[in-house]
Amino acid sequence: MIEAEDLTKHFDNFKAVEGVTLTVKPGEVLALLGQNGAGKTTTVRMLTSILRPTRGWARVDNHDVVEKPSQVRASVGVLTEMHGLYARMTALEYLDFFGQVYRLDESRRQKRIDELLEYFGLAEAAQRRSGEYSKGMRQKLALARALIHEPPVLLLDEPTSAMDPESAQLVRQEIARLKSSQRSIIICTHNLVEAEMLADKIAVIYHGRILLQGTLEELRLQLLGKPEYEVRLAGKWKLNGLEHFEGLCVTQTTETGFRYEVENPDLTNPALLQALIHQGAPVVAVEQVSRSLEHVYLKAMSLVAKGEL
Amino acid sequence: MKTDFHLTWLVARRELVDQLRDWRILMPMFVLILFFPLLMNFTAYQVVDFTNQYGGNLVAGQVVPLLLMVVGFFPVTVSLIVALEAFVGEKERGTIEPLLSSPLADWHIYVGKLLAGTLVPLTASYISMGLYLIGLVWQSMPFPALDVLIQMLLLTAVQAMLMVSLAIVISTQSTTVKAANLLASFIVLPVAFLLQGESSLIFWGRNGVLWLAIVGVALITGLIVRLGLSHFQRESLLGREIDLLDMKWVLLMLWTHYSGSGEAPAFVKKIWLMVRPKGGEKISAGQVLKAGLADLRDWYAGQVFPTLRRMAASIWIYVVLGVIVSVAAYYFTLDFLDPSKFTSAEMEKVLDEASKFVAGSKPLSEITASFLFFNNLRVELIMLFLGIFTFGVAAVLIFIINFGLIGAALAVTQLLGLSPLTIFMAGVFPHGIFELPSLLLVGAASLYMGVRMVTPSTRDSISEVFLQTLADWFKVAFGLAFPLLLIAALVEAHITPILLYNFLP
Repeated sequence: MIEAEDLTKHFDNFKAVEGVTLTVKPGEVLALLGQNGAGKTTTVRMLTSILRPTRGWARVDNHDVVEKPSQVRASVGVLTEMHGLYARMTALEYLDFFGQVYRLDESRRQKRIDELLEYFGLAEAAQRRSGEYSKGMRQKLALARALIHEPPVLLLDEPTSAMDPESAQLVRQEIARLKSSQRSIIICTHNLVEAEMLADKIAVIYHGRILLQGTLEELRLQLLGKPEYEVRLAGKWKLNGLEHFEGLCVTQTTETGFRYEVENPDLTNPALLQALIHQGAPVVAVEQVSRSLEHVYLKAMSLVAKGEL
Repeated sequence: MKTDFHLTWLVARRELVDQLRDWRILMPMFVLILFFPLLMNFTAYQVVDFTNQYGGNLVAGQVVPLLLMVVGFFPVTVSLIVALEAFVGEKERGTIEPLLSSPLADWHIYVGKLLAGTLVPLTASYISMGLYLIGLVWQSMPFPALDVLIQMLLLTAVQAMLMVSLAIVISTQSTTVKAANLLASFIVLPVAFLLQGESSLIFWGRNGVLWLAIVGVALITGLIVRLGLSHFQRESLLGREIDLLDMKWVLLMLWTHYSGSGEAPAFVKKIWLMVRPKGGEKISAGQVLKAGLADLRDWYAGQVFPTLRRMAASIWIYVVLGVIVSVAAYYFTLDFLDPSKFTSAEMEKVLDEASKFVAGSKPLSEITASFLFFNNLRVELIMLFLGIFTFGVAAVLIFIINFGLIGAALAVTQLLGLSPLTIFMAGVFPHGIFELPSLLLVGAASLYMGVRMVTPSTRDSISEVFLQTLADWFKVAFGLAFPLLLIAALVEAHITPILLYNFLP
């Protein structure tokens, strides 16, 4: 469990983070989105008890970040912005070192190292120094380090950056597995597709403040309005009787189709489709207009630029 | 605790493995270990051979341990390279954050790095010294005595630890490796002075003083480690990106703590209004004086006296030390100069030395109030300066010497058949009542500064604590110590001689 209220960090006159309030329950993933320098890393560093909040409080796995820094750090697995590997150490030595730092006994340490190296496909390269690794391999080893002590809380900064698609898929599966085993996870990322795939909740941070927070659906509704649907036809067709559908509002029409918003899509959409077919319209597709996280995020940023958010 | 030290050793071991896998550290180390002892053996052989030709056996005997120290010192210099980048290097490479995010305590990381910085160079030094000693036996050269050998080994160890502890403090306070390297002169210069002093002691065979030097360096090293650990902040390691010498900030910080407000005093504002009247308002000299007195009263009440209260423990330490040292010096001198212990020839020699000392000192006519004031002011500023570099220890020594001299001087007057009480009341008390508290106050302020520097603080950085305590020192000095010194100088120049003249037989 991660809880923070009014979490604030000032460096002299610079307000790095201002009044961040968030909750990540066990089994939940929160994606923290924002531009470079928005305050994501500072927030994560406060949650790992490296930075002392100027104001507000945070509890990680029920430990206060100011009062119990040791317990907080023991409960957290952190993947930092830079992978932070010791280039002259082999993967085995590196994981063994951090296993000891997290006070795992020898048998558990060995078991975890074997599991992680195997899972991330690093078993064969285990005896090689990490300085010889590719970027993706380094990222995987850094992630293995963050997971070595099976922490209840994970703070992951760009977990799949520099990875090939297969490796990224592997990491996403692991995050999903960790989520299902009741871990609380925060992911800081610029990869919006990944955030959409993994996150239960999204928080958009800008200039140290959280602008938006909620499930993707909530954010869509807040920023993009009601869902929009599109009807595409095989050729030109004159549509009649759309005004008879209650709660339907056409937002855009073209020669080969139209877009509309609707109050109750579960009722209206089947009826509309039936009517079109009844009229003999050459319907190719009736689909929801894409409203990805990227749309939400870009909309948020454009509203910020206009001073409307 | 066993598990805890295991974690410290874990950090140290990782660093040691890292060092031993880096050829850039190993290569110079090998060269220094293998070739330097040979060179020093050759040098020692040549010097001993040359001096023996002219009957300089004594010189030859001192050269051997001196070169042993030199052989031991050079591999130790490698420790600087390792220790200077201990923290800031990891920060630059991005490896520090996983370590700082781990449940390791601050001291696990700090002491682990301290050990790692010391062990490899020190081991190399000892191997080097061993090879040099084997070379001595091989060449049938005079072998150093066991106590000298132990001294050299200990001296090398404390020097290595001193350099590493300083370098680690610099490493935690720097933002880049480059900045840390530039600051290395703050290590090289004092260590160079230290080496010169130690070389003189070895060369002149002052082994007793050398033991004190070893203890002194070990003590300072301990305090530096404590300083570094007290101000080790994970936050500042990752939070700071650039460091600029912001003189405006420094002066503002000093003035804020000195004045208590950071604003210009009211009387300065009045003077300004007197020079440049605003809106027809006329300010008289009386108003300026009144504002000045009010400022002064507020400053003493709000700044000087509260600062004294904060320094109470340091002041008491100085009072107790002053009493103990002066009484001990009095009895020690009485015993040391007991006439029954000297032959008449020895007594004559002592008196001869004493008369030479008196003849060499300044004529009474030249001892003016300003001479006395500036002389004592210089001593107090030296106490501040040396106190900064020794956490107040040197200031204590200067204070002890002054109080010891008073005790010794009174003992001498007794041995000369005079009444110590009369001499004290006529020759010391009238100005001493002002001068000694002045010395005590600045000494206590220097000690307070040292104590605050090594006291853990999660709120203030080293530079902030330094500036705060420096402002405290100035408050005590300008508010009390210097005015007392001025009064003491006037009394000593104009009243004490009259009293002594009237009371001395």
